[in-house]
Amino acid sequence: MNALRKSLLSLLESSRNTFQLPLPIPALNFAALAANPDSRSQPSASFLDDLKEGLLRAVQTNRRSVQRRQWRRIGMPQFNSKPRRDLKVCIACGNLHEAHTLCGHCYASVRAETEVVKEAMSKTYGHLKPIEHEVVVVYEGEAKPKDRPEKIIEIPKKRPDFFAKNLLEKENVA
Amino acid sequence: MAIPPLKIAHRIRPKSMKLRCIQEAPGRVEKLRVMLGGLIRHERIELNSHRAAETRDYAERLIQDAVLYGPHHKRSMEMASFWLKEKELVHKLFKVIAPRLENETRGFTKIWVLADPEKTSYEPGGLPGVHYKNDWVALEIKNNPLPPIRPNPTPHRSLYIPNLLLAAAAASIA
Repeated sequence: MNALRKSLLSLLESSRNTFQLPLPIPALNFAALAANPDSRSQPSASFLDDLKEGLLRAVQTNRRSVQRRQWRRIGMPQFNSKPRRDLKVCIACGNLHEAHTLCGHCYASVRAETEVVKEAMSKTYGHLKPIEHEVVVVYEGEAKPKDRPEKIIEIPKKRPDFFAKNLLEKENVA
Repeated sequence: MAIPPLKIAHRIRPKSMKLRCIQEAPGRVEKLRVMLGGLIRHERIELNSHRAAETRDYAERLIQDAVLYGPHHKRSMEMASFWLKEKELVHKLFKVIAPRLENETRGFTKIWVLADPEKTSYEPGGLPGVHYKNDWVALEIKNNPLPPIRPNPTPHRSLYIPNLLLAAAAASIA
């Protein structure tokens, strides 16, 4: 701090010499202050007397975390953050999805079942044989079509119910 | 003879199909053949939206020619045997898909926009996963035997859960 004050004084001296400024007012007369250190203890009316004890400003003592900084930034008006209006609640399962897309949660079960059927289809059709007939998927406990040209794919499980049909009835009650 | 227009005129935005590591035009044709073969074989495929838009138009053209002219038409058969590399799929196109869709008036294929998958792969130590965003669709041929994708139908207002509960409460009070 002492070095800073010295550099400040020298700067003031040089500027006065270069620009031919008049002598500073007594409160700014740092050269006189430096030459006469006893005058520091005397109280003065000028606010510039703070300079005698060195330059002190309020500074931050703790680092703000990244999360905190971003939170402050997003709150600013120029950040222009808006709530999303393009989300929908799926009526079947209650998960959120974007308005222009399918519900991802519901589609996941459809896709899992599709993979099963696709694999069964490729086994039924075989490899390098001409594909000439439609395919009918038959789950466990369902009637097979008779006297039809379609090929039958049997899948050894029950047809999946992705959601309950009647919410007012209790399920799995003995 | 003029080639009849498609039943659905799709507007393809001039965007890249995001093909990597291919030659310019022949590689693109090769990739389109692969995607068309997958579509005819599996009846439903997942791919990005630009590839889906391109593949859809070619598939519509193939199926429409197969429906209109049948297998004895020279140009249709040439087109089908060029675009479908596996010859069992040519049989499938003319013998299975064309009869199935001969009364279809609003296009033979359907595109569903899928939701973003969960981004588990971005987490440290997460499973490797997919890295696409807002660009993933399911392309399918109509009336296929796979489990149906349908957006959840909006039920009648009286079937909403709050209304059901309110009705039950009103009945119990009265």
